[in-house]
Amino acid sequence: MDHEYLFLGVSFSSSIFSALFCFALLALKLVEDVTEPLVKTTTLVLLLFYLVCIFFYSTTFFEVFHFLELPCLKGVNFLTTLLMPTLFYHLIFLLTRLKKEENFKYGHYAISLCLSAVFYCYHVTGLELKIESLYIEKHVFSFLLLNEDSIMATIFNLIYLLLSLHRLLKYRKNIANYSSDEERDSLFWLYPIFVIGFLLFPGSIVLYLFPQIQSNLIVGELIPNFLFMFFNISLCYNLFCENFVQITEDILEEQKKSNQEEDIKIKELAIDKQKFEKYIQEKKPFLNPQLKITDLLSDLMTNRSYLSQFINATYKKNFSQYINQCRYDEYLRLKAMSNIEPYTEEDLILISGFRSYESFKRTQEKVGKTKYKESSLVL
Amino acid sequence: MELLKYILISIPMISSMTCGIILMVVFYKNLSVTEVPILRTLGGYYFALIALWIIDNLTQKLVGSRIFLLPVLSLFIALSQVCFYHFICYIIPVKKKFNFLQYEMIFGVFILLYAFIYALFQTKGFQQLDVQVLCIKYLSIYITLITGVYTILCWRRVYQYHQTKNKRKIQIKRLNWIHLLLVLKSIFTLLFSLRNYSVIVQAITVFVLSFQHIILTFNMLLEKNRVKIPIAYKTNVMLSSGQIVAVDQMGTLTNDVLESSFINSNTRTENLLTQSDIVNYFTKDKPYRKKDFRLDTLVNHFGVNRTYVSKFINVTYNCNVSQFINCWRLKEVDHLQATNKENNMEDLVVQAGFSDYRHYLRAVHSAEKRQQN
Repeated sequence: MDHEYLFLGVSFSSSIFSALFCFALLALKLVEDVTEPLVKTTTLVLLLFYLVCIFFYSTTFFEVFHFLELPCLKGVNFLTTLLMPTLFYHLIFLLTRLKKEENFKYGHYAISLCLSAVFYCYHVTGLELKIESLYIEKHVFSFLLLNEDSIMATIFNLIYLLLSLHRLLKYRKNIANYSSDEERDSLFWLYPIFVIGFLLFPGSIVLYLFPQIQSNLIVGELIPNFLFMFFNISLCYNLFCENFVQITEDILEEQKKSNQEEDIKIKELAIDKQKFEKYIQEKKPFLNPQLKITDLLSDLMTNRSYLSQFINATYKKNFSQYINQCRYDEYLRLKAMSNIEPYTEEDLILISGFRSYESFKRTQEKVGKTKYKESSLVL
Repeated sequence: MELLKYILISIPMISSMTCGIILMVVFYKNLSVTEVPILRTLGGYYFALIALWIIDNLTQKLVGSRIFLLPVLSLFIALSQVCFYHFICYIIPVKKKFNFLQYEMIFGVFILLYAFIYALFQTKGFQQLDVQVLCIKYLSIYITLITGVYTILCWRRVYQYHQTKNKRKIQIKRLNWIHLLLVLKSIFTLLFSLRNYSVIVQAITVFVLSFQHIILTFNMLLEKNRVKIPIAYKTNVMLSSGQIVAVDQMGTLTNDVLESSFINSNTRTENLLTQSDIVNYFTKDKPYRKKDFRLDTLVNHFGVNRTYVSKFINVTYNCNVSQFINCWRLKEVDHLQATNKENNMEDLVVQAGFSDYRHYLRAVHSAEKRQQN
């Protein structure tokens, strides 16, 4: 019994088998639940991602420990390293769609396939050895040539991760003006996943730069593999629980160039503040935890960008913040009432339209902050 | 090869870790009051398995002194089984509640075992004792016994549940996965009791255990998902029939027709008005035999907008609706004349749906005129 071997085994199996188990869980769900089309495609993409991950880790494993010395192994490994970020980007793309018509360009897959084919040819035909023998004397070149695959993969990874992050940020900017269901639609859970992603994929270049780290068991093997396990689990759980918006209408509005005339028009058409507040107080649309801005339009007889601009301008808040503020006020009102004994704190939070305790807490903190600011201004 | 063996050994730990972490994440989100204890027991189960694995594998080097860890190992083994049984008790509600004495009992056994080891330590032959063999034998017997006993207990509970269910005729809940789980558990116990250490048997044992975990986690998550409020999204759609209905995001129509003055609301989008529909209606029901049969009656019957029906008949039959109806009535008169000759013409005309003989003559006249054109 060797501890080092034991930990090596554990670390490899943690990444491979956690991906496998997540794969099984999601596949079971896909079979059991006839879900909506968007959920279905997203789950399928994630399943593919897991599959590619399993291939990647098992080929790496074979390569490192020289189990099966097949010539195609290196090609498959390289292909999977390129496919992983592409699939991840595809997944993020599906989750952060802002418009209904937006479709994923499958050319991304073609890029990675072509790259890996080129690499495979380069590797198989012996060109690699020739070039390496030519330039091996020059120090800078030798490093690049010896690690050409990992460097390329790292750059590729970095590009796709940045692309995905860009999409996420853009999405988060727009969703706050659209939906009040922060818990589910804001995709907050993707941030830790991105942190792990940046540590894992482009971060692996550090291992090549400092080979002594690679040989270090804990830093080189155990931590990355366990991080990858968390990565898998987090993705799997959130997709399983469908913590994302199922797009039924465009989230992003067409941005028109606003000129002077239109500005005046907007002011003319602007919603009457009193009427709006009366409507909010009487109808209490915020009691619906899944309220979207488009749900209010028919009652207020207005258009989406007007309403959104109105809320932004009059309350200095985005739609989501405003609705949560209303919910918080409702909660305070309910709490102040005398006959609330049958309800617990949690019930009151849910009654007032919050989806969960966490979103309530977040709002409470925000309100506390603004109140503090106001009071300090007064003083 | 040794590395592969380690990987095989680590699979159950990884599976329980993966499933345990997923449950932890669920646990972290707020849950209802009934869910929390269930997930707590399941968490206990996974925790016991992970702890068992870690202690067992990290202390392999301490050959002789492992005997002092024996009670700890057996404690975790028992804990995992009791937690599992406790979980089954939550899922399958029977009159008899879970007895919390079982938890106390395993701690009692834990202390007793230490007392036993202490007593063993005092004996003369202790130094010559082959501690390693003792440990391995003890653990394998212990695991076989305790998993066997608890599997039987679980089965008994399921059996009891089915009996009470048959008595009271309660609706069957979705418990098939519990059966699958218990079958897998039984297979696991059986395989373990074989004490066959070949790679294939071990691999099967390991995968059976992991499969159990997957099923367990999957169903717990599904159970939680089921409570979730479905996303409501509705939009109003105007059908080609001129009706306004509400449609949800799946494209299924809800039954509430928002605006309709029709008797038969024609709410299926694929339901088109065809020529054969009209012919069938006229030949079978013979609605034109009633005096007050008008375009509106037709509209109500098909649930199609009035203008559209009128246009349809105009285009298909090259006549307006009243001419069309009168055509049918004329045919009916001919038919009636052929079948019963006794009645006089005026009666037959009224039977065919004309209000009187004059209307009939006018209709004949206009029909002849149209034919000439």
